[in-house]
Amino acid sequence: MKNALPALFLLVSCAAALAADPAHTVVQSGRAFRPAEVSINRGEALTFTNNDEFIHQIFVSGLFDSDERSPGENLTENFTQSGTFEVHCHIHPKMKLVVHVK
Amino acid sequence: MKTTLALLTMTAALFTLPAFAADTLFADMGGQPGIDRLVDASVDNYLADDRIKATFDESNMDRVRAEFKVQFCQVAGGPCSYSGHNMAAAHKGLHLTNADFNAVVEDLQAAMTSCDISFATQNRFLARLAPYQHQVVTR
Repeated sequence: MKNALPALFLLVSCAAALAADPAHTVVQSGRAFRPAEVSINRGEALTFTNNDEFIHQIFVSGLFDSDERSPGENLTENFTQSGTFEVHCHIHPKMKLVVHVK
Repeated sequence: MKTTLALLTMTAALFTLPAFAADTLFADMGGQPGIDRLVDASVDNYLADDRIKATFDESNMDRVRAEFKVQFCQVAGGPCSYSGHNMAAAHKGLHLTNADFNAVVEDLQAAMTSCDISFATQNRFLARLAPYQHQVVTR
């Protein structure tokens, strides 16, 4: 039972973290997406906030390819298809965000 | 009066023409093919230079090369218009030092030499890049 409680707590925490952000905001910081993985429902949008010192943009191959955004700027992208998508930045190819659209 | 106007026009033209005629840097660097070769050689040097190669670790190098080719063309007076972000914004997060900038210049000079660009032409091009130093060096 002692072992089960921390595991349960961890599970609840993870679930809470995934569902904690009703506005579905992803921050671009340190040339990375934070968080690096999100789950949203089909038809919902993700807002990307550039809190970095670098210019960023976002794209999903075959879906969308945004303009570049300077530090301090936001952009919002709708996800209208179900599935799992990888979001990248043309400028910084190591940046990767996994989006699960239910 | 007509003669005076014609003389004035000719005089103005004489003073104006050298300004255009003197800007042969783009041609002296081999036009766009020469610029493209120079950019590829200089970027190869940057990526092989232990002093600065880490600066490019997170960058899309195909994009960097493409942006440099347009920008170098414009700086050399060629028929290009650089539409990317200004130098300060593009370099802000890199926290570059004067030593970094000097390393870039050294690698660029080596690339120009390897591309058979004359010493005089190298100096003309470097003189046009010099004003960017205060925009990209931030510490």
